[in-house]
Amino acid sequence: MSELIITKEQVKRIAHLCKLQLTEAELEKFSQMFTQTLAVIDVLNELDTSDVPETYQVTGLGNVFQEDVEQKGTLTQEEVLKNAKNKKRGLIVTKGVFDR
Amino acid sequence: MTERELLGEYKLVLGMEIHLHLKTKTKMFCRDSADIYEAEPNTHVCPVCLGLPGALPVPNKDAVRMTQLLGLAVKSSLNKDSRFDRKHYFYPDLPKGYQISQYKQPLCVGGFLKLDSGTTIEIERIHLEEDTAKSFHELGNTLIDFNKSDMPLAEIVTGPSFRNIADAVEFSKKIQDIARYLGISDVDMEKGQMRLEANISIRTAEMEEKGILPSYKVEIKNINSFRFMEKAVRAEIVRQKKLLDKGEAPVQENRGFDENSGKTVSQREKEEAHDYRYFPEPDIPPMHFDENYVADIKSSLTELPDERKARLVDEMGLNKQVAAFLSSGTNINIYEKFADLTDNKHDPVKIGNLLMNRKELWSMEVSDIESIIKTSEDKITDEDSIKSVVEKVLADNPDAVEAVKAGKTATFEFLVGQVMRETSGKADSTIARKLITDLIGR
Amino acid sequence: MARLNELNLIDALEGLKTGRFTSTELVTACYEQIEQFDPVVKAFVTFTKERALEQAKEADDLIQKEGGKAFEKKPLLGIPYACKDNFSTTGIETTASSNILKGYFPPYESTVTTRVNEAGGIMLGKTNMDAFAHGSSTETSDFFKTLNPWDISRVPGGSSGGSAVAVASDMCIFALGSETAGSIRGPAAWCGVTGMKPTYGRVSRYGVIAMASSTDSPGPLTKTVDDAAYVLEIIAGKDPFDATTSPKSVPEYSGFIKDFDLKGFKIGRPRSYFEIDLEDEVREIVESAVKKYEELGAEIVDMDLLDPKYSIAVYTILQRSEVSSNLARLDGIRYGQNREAFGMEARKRMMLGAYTLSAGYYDAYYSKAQKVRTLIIEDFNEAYKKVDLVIGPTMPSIALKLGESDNSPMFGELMDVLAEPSAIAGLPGISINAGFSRGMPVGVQLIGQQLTEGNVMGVAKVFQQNTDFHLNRPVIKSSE
Repeated sequence: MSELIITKEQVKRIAHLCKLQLTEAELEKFSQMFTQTLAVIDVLNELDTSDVPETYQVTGLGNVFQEDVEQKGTLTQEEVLKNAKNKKRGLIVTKGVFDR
Repeated sequence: MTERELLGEYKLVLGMEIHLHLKTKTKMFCRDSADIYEAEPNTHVCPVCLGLPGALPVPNKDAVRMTQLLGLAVKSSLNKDSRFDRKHYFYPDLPKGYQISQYKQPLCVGGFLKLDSGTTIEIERIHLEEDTAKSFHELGNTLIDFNKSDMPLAEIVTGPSFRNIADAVEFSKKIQDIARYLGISDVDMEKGQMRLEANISIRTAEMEEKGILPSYKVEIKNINSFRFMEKAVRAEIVRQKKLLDKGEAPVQENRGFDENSGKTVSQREKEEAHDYRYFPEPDIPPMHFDENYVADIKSSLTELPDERKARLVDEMGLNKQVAAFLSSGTNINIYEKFADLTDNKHDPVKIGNLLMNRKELWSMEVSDIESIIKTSEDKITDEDSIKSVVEKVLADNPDAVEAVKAGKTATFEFLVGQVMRETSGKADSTIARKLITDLIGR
Repeated sequence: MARLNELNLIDALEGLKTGRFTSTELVTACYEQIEQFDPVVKAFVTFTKERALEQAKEADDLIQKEGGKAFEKKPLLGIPYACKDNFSTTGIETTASSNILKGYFPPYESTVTTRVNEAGGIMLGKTNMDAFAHGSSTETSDFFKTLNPWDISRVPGGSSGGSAVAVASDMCIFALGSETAGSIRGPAAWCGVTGMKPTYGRVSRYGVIAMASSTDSPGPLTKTVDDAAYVLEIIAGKDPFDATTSPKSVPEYSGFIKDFDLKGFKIGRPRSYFEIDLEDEVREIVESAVKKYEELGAEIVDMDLLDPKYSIAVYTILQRSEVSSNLARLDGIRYGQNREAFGMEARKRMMLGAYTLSAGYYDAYYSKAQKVRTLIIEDFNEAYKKVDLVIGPTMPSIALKLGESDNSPMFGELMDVLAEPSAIAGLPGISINAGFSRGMPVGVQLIGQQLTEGNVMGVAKVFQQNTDFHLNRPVIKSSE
């Protein structure tokens, strides 16, 4: 049974992926929680899935499309902007983000 | 300096990613109108493309078909099973914090396009995805318009197949023509309907000989014109050569081209940020395309630009210039007139030249063009025939002849008119005038 | 005589149709109950009283004018309901009980509430839940804890805790909830009400704030199975705005379960569901229910299903991965607060989910979980060759005391162990009250194959026809 430990460094990296800020104390706590949770998940390794396909859609549906025709549902500009904290000239405003 | 000179002893390795806005009526995963180009900001937006909690994507049938049509046009194979995946990263113009794209099973795989020089460019894949919103910077803020969010994008990815910039430009232009032929995109780069991304690296001649690819590539995004691309790639060549000459390997990263300085600038984020955490989109069931479906799409594939150009030259005897003109993606309506006029009617070479040289015909109805052709065909241009008519007219009108000799221009016109009357308007008036002048002896 | 708010849906409709009372009286009775007891149990986060009374008046006018005919087009006319706060309701604050969505007023309506409203249903307010549905006790609401009306020192279960309490406390006639794995059935069991989780894809998710996209199932919490069938008929069915909804037509469930014949019905009793750590009395009560079914004519078949421990792992990975993805849109730019406002439970789940999806770990975790999911589905398929339905306890214990779940990194997923296999496979399941232990309700659940809600509810109804556990109501002790 693998003894998988998640380090604070790893937790930090994951927090960055989630765009979350964690305090030092939280990093420590998360590191412990992760390790505990991963131990529970580890049980999946008991099952042989080498020839088993993934299921990510339990409905069995396929080829679900909509015709290329306008439907009701377009919001007014006012509705689009309503919940935004900052807006200007019909646009939604946020603090500048310059790299991508 | 030429590209060769910039490269020095190095060789260019260039790959392209071309994004096309598909010409659907509605967006990719929602049914807002896709006619966004002149619209007021945030007026073509719904809960889905705004990324509101609880909103769900439903794919646009035509967008899928258009992408597959494009794939067939460049000889890709259509995946029998295809699906959408979520691609995660944070940016203000990406409302859901992930883009619905295709990762493992794109709609089209493989393909190629032959350039005029004979070089074959390999295509890796074509997939379908949603576009991001439009954002721009102002006074330290980012302002966002979500009209563009969720517009359907077909993305063509080539391998590192290009060895010079001109080939990449030619390839892109051929894709534009194909898109116009298929009616799947207006590919207007100024409107952002077609965007380019270039993957650039350089290597030694030895590596090229041995077929070894460089260990890095630098990606430049948001290229919105061919001029911009040339400048950006050239700037990168200069930068990369400098580094390699020093013995340093260029870093694998994204860079942007700054037109003011003429240099590329690093936009690199920490490597971890590019962990896109792809997984199959759970909100959209997978797609399966059987033989009937593929056969149906194949049958709707019409003649393609290069095929048409070749046919005009080989089967209709047009010269390369006229053939290129008629087969260009921006001249489809002119070609249609050509096709109509030459359909068991007129001589292709004649019509080809006619259409290419006379702009005013481009907006005319075919029937009107026909009239013009008829009129010119009926014209009597044989000098001897006209001469006998002129002689008759001069003999019948001695007073007029004297008047013309005396300098009366109006009477000259009268005599021209008489010749035209005698020939029911068919005499070539230029020749008639010349003959009248000669015979009167002025 | 029962107070109007104590009526079940079928009886309330009968009363309105026959003019015994008005919708205004019905709605008012519910609000009176709310005013008296909600300060104690705290089921609601938002009230829509003014609008509800207006709608009640409109309903009364319509009934006056058209009489019984009005109910043909609007089968829920005049009936007050409570709605879990993860359903988008136009112009009404929708928070999923999370601080990050405080002040968010959706500009659109979920498909389910659209259908209920168009059928004449009158929303009383939005109910409390575990924030973003991340929990099984409603303790992780960012706002306040909802208490179990049977014992206010205990939790009601979650994440549809507020809705379950609203029904159990007769503060509404029926409620809407949603289940990712256990979030309808769990609180239904712990509050002694009927909770119906439909087949995944039977009811549209459009407008429901997503938790795990591949298992989320909106559904009704009601006082009886008949009520659940009635509501399900109205909310189920294909939705062009949700690509995962089933195109199969919605049966007339009420009619289907009316004289349901249990004879020859094979009910499977999976050993592994009873071999986990269950409270003794819970086990006894559920075993009695099984015996009851045998007396009523069903054939009980002992069988094996995959150990639920695998489902815990599969569900934890899939749900947390999808959660990390679905919460990525909450960046505070277009709506809501910024990501600092996320509660602890949401952060935990997002982080684990990002990890299980990240490069280098995807195959070992997410991909592996999806493969085991296939095994779980196949396991059920094999089982349903031998039996028609599966029976078992809904929860391994009675409702826990407040605070018992603290510090457990996987409390929710461990508590919902008995709901997870069917949730992962997208199967329909119902929980109904089967008895009491230490004064607290104990639920028994029935699970069917996909799209067999008729059978599931039919078999459940037979139990309610022959027992009266479901008729019990808590005596709500004030906190004084």
